[in-house]
Amino acid sequence: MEDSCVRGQFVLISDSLTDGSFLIHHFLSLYIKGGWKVCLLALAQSFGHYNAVGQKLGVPLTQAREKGQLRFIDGLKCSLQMYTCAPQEGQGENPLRALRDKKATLRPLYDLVKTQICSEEGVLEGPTLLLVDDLSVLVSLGVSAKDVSDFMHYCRVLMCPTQQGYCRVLMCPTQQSQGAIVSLVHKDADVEDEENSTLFRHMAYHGTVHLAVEGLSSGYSRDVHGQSNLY
Amino acid sequence: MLQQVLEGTEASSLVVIEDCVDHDGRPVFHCFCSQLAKRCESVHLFHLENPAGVFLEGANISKVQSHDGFSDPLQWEEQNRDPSSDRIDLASALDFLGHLKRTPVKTSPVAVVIDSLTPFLQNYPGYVICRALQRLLRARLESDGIEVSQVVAGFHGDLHDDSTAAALRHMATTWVQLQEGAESPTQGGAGFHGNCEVLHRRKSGKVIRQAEVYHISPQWSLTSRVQKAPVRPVAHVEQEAQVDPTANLTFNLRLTDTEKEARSRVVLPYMHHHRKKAPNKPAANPGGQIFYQPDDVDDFDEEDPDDDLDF
Repeated sequence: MEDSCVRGQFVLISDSLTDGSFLIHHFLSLYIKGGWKVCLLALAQSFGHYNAVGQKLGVPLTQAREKGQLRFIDGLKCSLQMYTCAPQEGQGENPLRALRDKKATLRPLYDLVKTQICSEEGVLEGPTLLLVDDLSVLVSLGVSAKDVSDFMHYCRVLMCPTQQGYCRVLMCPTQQSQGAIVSLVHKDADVEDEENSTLFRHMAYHGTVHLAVEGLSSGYSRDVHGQSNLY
Repeated sequence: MLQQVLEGTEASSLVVIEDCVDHDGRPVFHCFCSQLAKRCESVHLFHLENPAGVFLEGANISKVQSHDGFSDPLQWEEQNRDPSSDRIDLASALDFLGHLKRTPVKTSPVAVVIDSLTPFLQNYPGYVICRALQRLLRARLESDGIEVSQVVAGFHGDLHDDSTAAALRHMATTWVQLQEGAESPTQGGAGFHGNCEVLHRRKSGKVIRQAEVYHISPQWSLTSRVQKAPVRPVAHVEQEAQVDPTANLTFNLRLTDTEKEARSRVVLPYMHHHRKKAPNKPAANPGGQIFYQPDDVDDFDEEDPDDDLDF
């Protein structure tokens, strides 16, 4: 995998029996350093966690957020509010109201992402990365794989409509997308979760690059934490 | 067979290309788009999973009419709607034929390419899709103003249940199941290749099922041939593996002919025989005796009476 910011890519990270979130921090620091605008949709961790890791990687996320280079969507807080607040206390404005309302979709979340990264005309302002950590949380909270797939489809159309795929050699440079997406889906081999497996397959069809992170087949090792495969 | 269906020398009204995550069907789909644009007057492309441009490279795009289900299939975007292009709305009733009738270009017959059926199957029941496809295939120039010569549809086999696949397979005249994925193109653009299984039904009723190997050139032309079964020299290997276990030993395990004859005469103690016993000879086991009398179906082996030896 090239260690540079590539436009038009939909990178799908999957992990099995290990934690692939280190790649989220890697891409976050890589694209911030590359001068890209980054929108981090955080469903698994708080901003403090990403900031603490970012400081170790030499990327102060607090400054990036203040400058406007980093747009942080606190999905963790929104999901918690849906379960702790009463309906009349602003659940109607929550972008994750699909967690309680089975008839709702993730359209409000998509609208929020779009307002964070697009201009008033609804187009991207320069190279932009959408980083989603992670999609399996939505499925765990009861959102169907179809709704998550629809949400990611619209994100893909927004970020990389003319994405590089099997026709990489065919893409005209002027048609290149301004954006890119990196998302994480858990794919633990020891967990039988049909909905999550369906979600992974949907994302695999959307993605242009699949990074599969897994533990070593020989077992735990102190020095080598795992292996990754690129598809 | 795949190549014949692609080139039109083998007639097929509904072609379904089944792929999965490991075996990408888009290169084969691309070949169909390219070939249909050459030999048909008009091609209607229903694209929902990829932008139209992905499949139109190398094709005569003047013959292709796009129906956009990729940009805004669920009507989430309020702005930037181009009224001139035909859009697919997955929230409204499904009608492939209606989309064809709405296009200004009126040529017939037309070919229809659908990428893919999965978004439709996620939003409509399976029978609705089948009914819409049936209506498309039965369209007639006199009654509907348009006639469809061929429909080619993509189908992700690992996203749907077996009943949906079975229903579509029943409708399809050609079912192409990709079994080994298309390889990624090399820097030199060597194309793609893979294996597939083709199930083809002719109008005469004959059903042909064969495993094939296909190759796609960088110019998106596909060639296929029947996959030959690998030659297995199994018998020759088995003959070589039989080694005499009694050879090369420091002790003798073989029997002479007289020893074999003497062994065959040995009466086993538990075998029931009808010879008279001596009246004054006491019973070997006064508590009871066990006799074994084999039936006709018993395969009694004197060398392995318990049938627990693994030679």
